[in-house]
Amino acid sequence: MSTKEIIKKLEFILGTKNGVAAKRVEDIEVLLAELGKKKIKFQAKLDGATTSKDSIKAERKLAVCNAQIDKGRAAIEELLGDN
Amino acid sequence: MIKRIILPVILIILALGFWISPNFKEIAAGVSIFLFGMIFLEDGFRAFTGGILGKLLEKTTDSLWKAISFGVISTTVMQSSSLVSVITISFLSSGLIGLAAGIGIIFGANLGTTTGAWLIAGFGLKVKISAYAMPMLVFGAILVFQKSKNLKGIGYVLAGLGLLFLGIHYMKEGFEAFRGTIDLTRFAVSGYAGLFLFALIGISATVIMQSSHATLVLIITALSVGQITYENALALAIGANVGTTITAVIGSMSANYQGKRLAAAHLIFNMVTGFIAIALIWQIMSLVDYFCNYVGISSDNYTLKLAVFHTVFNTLGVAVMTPFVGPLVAFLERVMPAPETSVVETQFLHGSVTDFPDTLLTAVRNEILHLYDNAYRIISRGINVHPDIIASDLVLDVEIPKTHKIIDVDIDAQYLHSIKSLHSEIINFTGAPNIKLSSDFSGRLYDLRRASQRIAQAVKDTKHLQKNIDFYSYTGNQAIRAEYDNIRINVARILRLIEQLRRDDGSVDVFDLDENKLAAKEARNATLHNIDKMIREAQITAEMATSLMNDLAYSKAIIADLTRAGKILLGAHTSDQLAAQDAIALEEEDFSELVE
Repeated sequence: MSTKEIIKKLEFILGTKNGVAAKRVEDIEVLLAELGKKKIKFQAKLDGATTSKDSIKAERKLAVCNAQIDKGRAAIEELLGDN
Repeated sequence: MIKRIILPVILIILALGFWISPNFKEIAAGVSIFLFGMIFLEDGFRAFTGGILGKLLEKTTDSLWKAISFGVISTTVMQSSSLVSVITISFLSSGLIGLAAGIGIIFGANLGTTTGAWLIAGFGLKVKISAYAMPMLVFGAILVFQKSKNLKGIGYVLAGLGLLFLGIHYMKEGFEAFRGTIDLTRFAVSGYAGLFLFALIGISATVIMQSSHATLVLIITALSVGQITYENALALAIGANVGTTITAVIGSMSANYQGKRLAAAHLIFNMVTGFIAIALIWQIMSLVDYFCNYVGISSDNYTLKLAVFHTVFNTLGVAVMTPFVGPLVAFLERVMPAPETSVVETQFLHGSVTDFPDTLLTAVRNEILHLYDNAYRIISRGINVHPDIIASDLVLDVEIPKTHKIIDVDIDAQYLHSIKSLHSEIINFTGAPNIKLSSDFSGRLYDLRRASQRIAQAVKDTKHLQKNIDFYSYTGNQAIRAEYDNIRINVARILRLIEQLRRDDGSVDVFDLDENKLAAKEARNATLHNIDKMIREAQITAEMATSLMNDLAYSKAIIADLTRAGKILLGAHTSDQLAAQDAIALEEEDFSELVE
């Protein structure tokens, strides 16, 4: 994370009027951390898939996981950007 | 009739007493102020307990010793075993803790409450506590009128402590004045007859005042000015310990069977402890003398010796009863069996759960899960899939097409019988005017009500789906039957996923609900793409195609409703967490991108 980003985030967290949004960012970050772990698990499953069925299954799980992560990041960007 | 007479009689007796003896008036005023202090103190702690206590309980009641420690600490801090026992009944009724943990807390509360005697005997009677009472009352009164919930809570606690101290002061003054006129020691009775008699007086006094703390203060102050003998004071303390269970018994009246079991456990524990204390009173007194001698408490300091006695006999009670917690739980479960699980009646929504936001939300969530259980049985049968198949590890894609046997279920009747009535109860209970919650909690309550609504709606939609599922189960047309099998599979999948989420074994998590929705959408899209081809190739008629399209919409709605309910009930604990989940939840357009 760049200094600018850290400052931006600090400003955001310290601003009391942004308390609700800060809490939302925090909650989304918790979910993103869980999704990050899932992503690693699915990637490992995909790499280790021996049949095409397993491969398709893991690919789809990975795709959903990535889409969720992207949405979470976009939501955080939006929350930070609003301030 | 008797109830109507009792209150006026008590008031007349008290008025006569006040007229005859100004000292009695002072003592009675002291007790009243003390009781008001208890009420303020309880209100103050209630303001803090929302959220914090729930989290603490979850972490501190996973073993008996932790539960006992929790009981000791919380009662020491709150200085009210009654409050702790009522809170415990409330948490038990809502399903937040188990009976064994509840019993552990009650045992601990009995030990924790003995610290009150130490405070009064060691501090309350030696320092001019009324000097502390006044500033506490002033600061408390100012803070009580503040808007902030926390400041208000501190205000109530300060005012409560101030009133407690003031009450002790008036009781002490009253008894000291009494000393010059009447000598109550003349009524002292020695031997076991005296023990039982004074124990009964202690029970009665505590039942009337609803506070063993108040009785104990009365005993200690009377003892400190020599108005009662040491032996009789011990018996009174034993009686107060038994009498205090009345608060828990009253508290359990509005609780469910679990709360009643706990109140019974409380009564049994205090009765057994009381009998042990009376049976071994001379031995315990010797032990107290030995201890006091050891720590340097003078032999004529009866007030502190009473505090030591109170602690010793309660410790003895906990030591004797703790190994029997398991058998006690088994005994209570046998003599007070859980009522037959009714699909119609509410199981968790009782008056006792509205005391704290945590218990209220837990009870409402549990009740909605009860509603979901009913819905689960109706929906699975409505799609002609036995609930056992959904609950099993069998592959749904393989098992469901194997059987087309119609399961006879009248969804309309079932909806009215086990969904609508329960859903109405939930809505009615959560909308009651006495439920006042902060925005965090009311947001969560709103989410839970929405979950209940979604579940009820899913059952209604299943009714529409059922007609054609049944109709095409016996059709010779393989193509349409296969399409309806797909619908059955997709609805069964969400039911299974929610069951897996409820098991909480780590095999699935709330994110999988989105993936399941995507899989259902893919299957739906595949069918919709196929419909034209099936009509062209005369595999299905246009009428069949219309039914299929309508039923695909119903299945989509069922899956969406159950997914939403699953997220609220099993994925989030607060409205903030749900909002965060919504922020990452995949919408229809996200699915479209993924499907493409």
